[in-house]
Amino acid sequence: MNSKRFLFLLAWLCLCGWSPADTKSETFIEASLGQLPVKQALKLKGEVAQAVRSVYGGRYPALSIPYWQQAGKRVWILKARGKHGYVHAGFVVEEGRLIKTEVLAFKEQRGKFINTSRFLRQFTGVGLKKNGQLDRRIDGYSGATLSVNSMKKMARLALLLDSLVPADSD
Amino acid sequence: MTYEDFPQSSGYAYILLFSSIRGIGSVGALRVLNKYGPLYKAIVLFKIGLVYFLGAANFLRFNEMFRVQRRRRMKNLVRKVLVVAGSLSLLAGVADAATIEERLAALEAKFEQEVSAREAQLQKRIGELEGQVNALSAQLVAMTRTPAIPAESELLTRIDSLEEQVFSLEDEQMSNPLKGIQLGGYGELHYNALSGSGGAADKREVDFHRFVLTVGKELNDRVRIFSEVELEHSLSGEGKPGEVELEQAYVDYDLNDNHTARAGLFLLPVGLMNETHEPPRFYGVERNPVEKNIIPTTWWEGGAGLHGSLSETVKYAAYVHSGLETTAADKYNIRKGRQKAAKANASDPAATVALAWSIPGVTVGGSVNMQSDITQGAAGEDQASAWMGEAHVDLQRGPWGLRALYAQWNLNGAGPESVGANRQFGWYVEPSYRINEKLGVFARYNQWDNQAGGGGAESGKEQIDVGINYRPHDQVVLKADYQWQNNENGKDQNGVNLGVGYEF
Repeated sequence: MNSKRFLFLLAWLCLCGWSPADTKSETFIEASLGQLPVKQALKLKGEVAQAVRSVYGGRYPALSIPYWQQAGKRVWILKARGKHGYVHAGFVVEEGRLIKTEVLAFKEQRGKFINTSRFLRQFTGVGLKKNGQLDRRIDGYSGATLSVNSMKKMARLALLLDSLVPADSD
Repeated sequence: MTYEDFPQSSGYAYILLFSSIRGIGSVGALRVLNKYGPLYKAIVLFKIGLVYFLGAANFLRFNEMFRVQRRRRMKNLVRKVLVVAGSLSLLAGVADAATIEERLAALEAKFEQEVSAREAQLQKRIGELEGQVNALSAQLVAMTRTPAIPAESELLTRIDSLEEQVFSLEDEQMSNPLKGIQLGGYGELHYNALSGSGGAADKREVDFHRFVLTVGKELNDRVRIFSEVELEHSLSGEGKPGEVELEQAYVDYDLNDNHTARAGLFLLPVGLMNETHEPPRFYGVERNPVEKNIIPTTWWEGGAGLHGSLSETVKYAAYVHSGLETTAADKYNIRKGRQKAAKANASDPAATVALAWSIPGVTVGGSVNMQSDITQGAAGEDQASAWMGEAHVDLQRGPWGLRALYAQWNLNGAGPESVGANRQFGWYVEPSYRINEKLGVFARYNQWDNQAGGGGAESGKEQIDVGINYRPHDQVVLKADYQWQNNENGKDQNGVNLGVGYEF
């Protein structure tokens, strides 16, 4: 391959790989709820902290977790460690089930597939079993186990947190 | 006689008399004055004035005396009237004594009743008040124990202080050279208890096979560096069984969201295990012999290239890099051709292209490696061009898993052909079942041959493995398996392998 062809290939890859900026949290919330409601937070202390620890597999790296709610839906923005730092993801929960999942930021190299619609579709309609596991199978990718596990962990956490929000907070 | 007994009329008469006498005297004196000088007249007038002043004083004195006397008399009169009235009442009451007794008794009873009712009412009220007092006391105690809510100004002060601390920490972080450093690694300890047969040696050993540390850093949004150092077999040095190896040290530059340029020392994207080989991520204590002897895993080279995604499901990698250096003395064994980028002979470069298609639970991929001279410039007929083709599949649908791989090297040259190394191939198939999140079982059939091109060498090898992986934690694994070998040369090693591994 001569240098001209190589440069042409490089330019083509740059162009076809262009994509809009990462979806940020606020955009995700607005897209999910129609507008940006008042931010609320669930404090991680006492029984809530214990329950979170049981599904998260350790202490969540924050003292409280923010959420936004509107018309029976709640949006949770969470993070969990993948192979290369934290994966940030947004989850929309309605009546105890995930209705939308999106990866907001990540640095995974082998686990880039977690940001594909085919992977994220698997979370739609998933609920939480009494033992803290998801009630539906989520298939992963070869070589991306830690990235996939981080998404599963956050999905479990979103469903658990949603069940812990006091009823009078609507 | 005191002035109290002095009659009022007599008093007034005395005053009048005294005043008259003095007055007459004074009038007479005035008439005489006209005959004398002014000094004498003044003295006389002063005396006259004094007389009248004393008269007035006497009048006032006697008037007060009379007033007191009147009040005393009035009191005596009232006393007398009361005594008379009381006597009359007493006289009237004696006649009706019996009726009064009854009324008194009734009044007493009523009085007692009234007192009892009042007392009960008071007791009740006292009880209610006691209850209220106790409740208030309890509230007071609770308020005393509850920490006081700080005033708003105090809270604002604390928030300001915390903000300052956060900014300070951010400043420190910005200048911290360790910011963004990502540490990682893995390790695995093996115990092999194998019995040799057909001339193969027994193997009873404990070996900390691999101890690996990785360090990475994101220099900015687009540029990352990553490195991996490995100590194999615990002890390195002259005459020692192990070695220290630099397996990865590269720079990644993101051209955009989907494509990344890479340069440095990196693992080649061939097979299933070459890039992903942390102990919790594969079945079996030892890595499978096909990828070890044919690929050859772990295979790393120095070079540059691109990797990324062509679509949501297709991943690619393409690199130009340093190549293998096999020799006739080693019968062109591929694994022995790894130069590990240690003053590697770079007379003849190599190239690798890999493609993988993935959907959740399914990965199908393959790679091709090409090298125009795998001997790196050997003389004459020993030279050989080479290429390797490999295809693999990795399925994980629910608890069921299946891994399979086929790989083959073709070496074109008289030298390799002479020892049958012109074709080297291997394949394996590995079904598995995950009983739960922690426990999984597997079986694997492996076959490989590094001199499959003919020449009569009994070089074909076959191995069956069965075993379990137990993961008490997602990043920790305990392994046990049993291996049977059935090699063409009859030299087999069969037995048990145990291992423990981790990654972080």
